[in-house]
Amino acid sequence: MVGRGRTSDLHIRTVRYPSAMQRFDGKIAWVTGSTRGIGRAIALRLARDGADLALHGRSADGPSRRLAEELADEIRGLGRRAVCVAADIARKDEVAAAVEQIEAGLGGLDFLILNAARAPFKDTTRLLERDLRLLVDTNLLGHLFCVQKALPLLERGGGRIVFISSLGSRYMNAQYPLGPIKAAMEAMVRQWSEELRPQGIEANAVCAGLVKTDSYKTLRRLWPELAALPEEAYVTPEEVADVTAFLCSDEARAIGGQTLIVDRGLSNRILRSP
Amino acid sequence: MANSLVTRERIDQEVRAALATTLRIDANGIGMEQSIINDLGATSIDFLDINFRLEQVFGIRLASQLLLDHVEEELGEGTAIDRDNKITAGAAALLREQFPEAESIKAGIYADEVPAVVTPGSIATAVEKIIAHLPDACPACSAASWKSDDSTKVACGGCGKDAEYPDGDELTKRWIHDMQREKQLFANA
Repeated sequence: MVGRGRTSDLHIRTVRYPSAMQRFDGKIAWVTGSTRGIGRAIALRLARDGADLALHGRSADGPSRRLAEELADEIRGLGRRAVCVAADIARKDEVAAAVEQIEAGLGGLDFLILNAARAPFKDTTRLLERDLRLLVDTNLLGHLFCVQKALPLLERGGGRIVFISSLGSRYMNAQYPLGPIKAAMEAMVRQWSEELRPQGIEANAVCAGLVKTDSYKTLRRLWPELAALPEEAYVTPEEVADVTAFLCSDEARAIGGQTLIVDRGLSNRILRSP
Repeated sequence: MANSLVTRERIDQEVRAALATTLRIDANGIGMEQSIINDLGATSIDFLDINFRLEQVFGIRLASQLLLDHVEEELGEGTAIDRDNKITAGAAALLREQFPEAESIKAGIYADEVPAVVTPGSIATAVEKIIAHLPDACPACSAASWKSDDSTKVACGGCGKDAEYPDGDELTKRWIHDMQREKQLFANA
């Protein structure tokens, strides 16, 4: 027991890196949905901190592929390795193939960042069966498939899983059926944290506030009042990426199964929990 | 003509401008019959941006949902897209009504291939159809005169209130029901 006024080595362990080293040197990260927006910012943040990157988009061709290749070049320019994998995460066989490519191309996996998302924007009562299947298959099962297939690699060296959530997980937004699925995923993260800790793997989530990424283009049409919000209400993709990188770092070793809200206090000020 | 204050030429000009800004390409190089996806390199997300810009310019709401989604919401699931994600004969016939130039539209093609038929011209037509619904008189003050300073947004000549049009989703639904009544494109609907 640590007495009052005393400190324990366990609690004040200071993480120091040799000046020439980055904190993620030798680490390998897979960021799903990393061709643009928050995923892209996370990939760049991790690469700048020394990690090698597996970049991911759903399509093997078209603009998504081009964006992935451009980002891979940028990351290689930072002196890191980068591979691009294409997979519809809703399909377990495609996820398995992607993980095989990552192992073949980079030799392992330390950080799995579950950022990919795909969803219709309409009220839940109007969702067609294929809308519902897309919603659940991609945003719930897809992440599970990624974890299941990446597990053998993550187990090798104390892996970290970070799920990227949104405020829809805790506040109702009209025509945003992804919100309830994000809530389920935050619960899944708590499950993973306990289930995987014995294997040396930790899982957490980052709940991003309003971010001006692609989904914002839809949201501003649904909620015109967004335009009236001051610029400081918005979080940048880089701010979300910084917290994601923190959760991958050794500094976050005491955090497990949690969701950190990164919204510049927006939900604290305006949206209040019951 | 869309209405007496906004010409098709003006709409085409604004569609080109919206595409040029979103896709960062030269507006003068955009052909109105080019595929926005295949020829101009847009992604599905770019359409949100393009539509948003046009909505701001003309004071309208373009359809936020795809035509075939509307069909299935209005006439039943499976009427437009089958379990293999391929479009039905009825959906192909309806799409050909909306995109007469799109020869690639046939029953049995994958639904994912449909957005490639959208051209600058078809977006301009969608804008034109909405602003053709300018009311005869202002609902707020009953004045029967409209004005436009820039040939895009229209306001009441009496009270100055911006004109309100039916939104694109609503017009699409009406059109689907009209087509179904007239041509019975969807047999089991």
